[in-house]
Amino acid sequence: MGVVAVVVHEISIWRKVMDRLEQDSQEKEQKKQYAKPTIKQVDLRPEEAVLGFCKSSVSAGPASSMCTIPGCSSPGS
Amino acid sequence: MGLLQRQVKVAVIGSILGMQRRAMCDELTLINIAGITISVDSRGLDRLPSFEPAMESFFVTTDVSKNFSTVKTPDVSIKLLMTDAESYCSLERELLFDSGALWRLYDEQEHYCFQLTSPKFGDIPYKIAHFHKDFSQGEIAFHRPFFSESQSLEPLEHPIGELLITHLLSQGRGIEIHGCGLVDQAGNGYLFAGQSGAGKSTTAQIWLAHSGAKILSDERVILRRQSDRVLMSGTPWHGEARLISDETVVLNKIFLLRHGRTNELCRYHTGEAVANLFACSFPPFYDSAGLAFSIDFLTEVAARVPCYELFFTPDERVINLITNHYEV
Repeated sequence: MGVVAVVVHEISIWRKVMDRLEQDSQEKEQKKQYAKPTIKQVDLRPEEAVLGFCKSSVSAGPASSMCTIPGCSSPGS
Repeated sequence: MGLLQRQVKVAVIGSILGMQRRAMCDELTLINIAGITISVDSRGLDRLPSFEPAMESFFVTTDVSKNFSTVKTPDVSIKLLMTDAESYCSLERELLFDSGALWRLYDEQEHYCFQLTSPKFGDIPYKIAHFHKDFSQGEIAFHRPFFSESQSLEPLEHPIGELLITHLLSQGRGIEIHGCGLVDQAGNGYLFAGQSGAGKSTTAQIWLAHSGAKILSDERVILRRQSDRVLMSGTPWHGEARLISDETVVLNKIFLLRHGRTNELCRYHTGEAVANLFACSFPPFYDSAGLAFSIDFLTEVAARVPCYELFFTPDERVINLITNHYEV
């Protein structure tokens, strides 16, 4: 009986190991394919980013009243 | 000091192009932009200051029967004055940043000094803004020789108003985005971000004409965090469509505008979204803490709000694409 119990125990361990191997195999198949890292460049417009641009920059400030564009209300769209 | 009251006086100024309206305010003006309150004290001037009409929607209207002291303490208090710019600036200063166009920033130890110049007047600044480094207080000075007695004085004229707001935001409050913000009739807040020419004003006009949406701005919006939500607020700075609102809505989706032959949506990964939003923002590049906060804030926004690349055609079909799009 003792030998039978050992054999049963060994079989259950073997089954667990086989189940785990099968699970690992399935996970490997589901893993995404390796993609080499890439660099994507996003353009920055410095003159807009620093608020240095105005539609009527030549008429900013006190000169604006002399320009046909009234004031500097458009930030530079 | 007696009771301070704010009265808005609308002055009609004739010009060769027609009528130009500017809001003229009393000695003390309160302005609220995206929860940031600015107090402008003009008692140091020889005339009342004026503001662009778009700014009127952002004036804090106080009940004239109430004492001014009951109004919430402003986030920044600004005094206006006329001066001689050449003697006004400190000699002990270090150039921090040159925008290459309208303004330069100097570090004067305890203050920041923004000097605004115009090609018409050369290197002498027509306006100088001094702020404490925490931007809680400041002065805006006009170079007297450049302003005739009849000329209007606009303290927050571009770019100084936005410079002030973007610096305050970078201290931990939020960020300003180059974009069109709107809320549709279902209450969804959408941000359409893009650089000049991307189609922000076009987008605003399409939604306004074909969907009944409310436009917060066709040029600049401000994003802030409120617990786990991102709020989007209108600003007084508009684009060609001249659309503004002082309202704040919950931001549900962000779209980065691209011209296209068809209408298509492509979901961004968080990193891509942050990079593209950063390119449409106005961070203080010369302030490492402010820059770090801006990037961290955009990362939080991108993690909470779905961001898409939107290829669109300039017609109402794009509305159907967006309103019928659901995340699985």
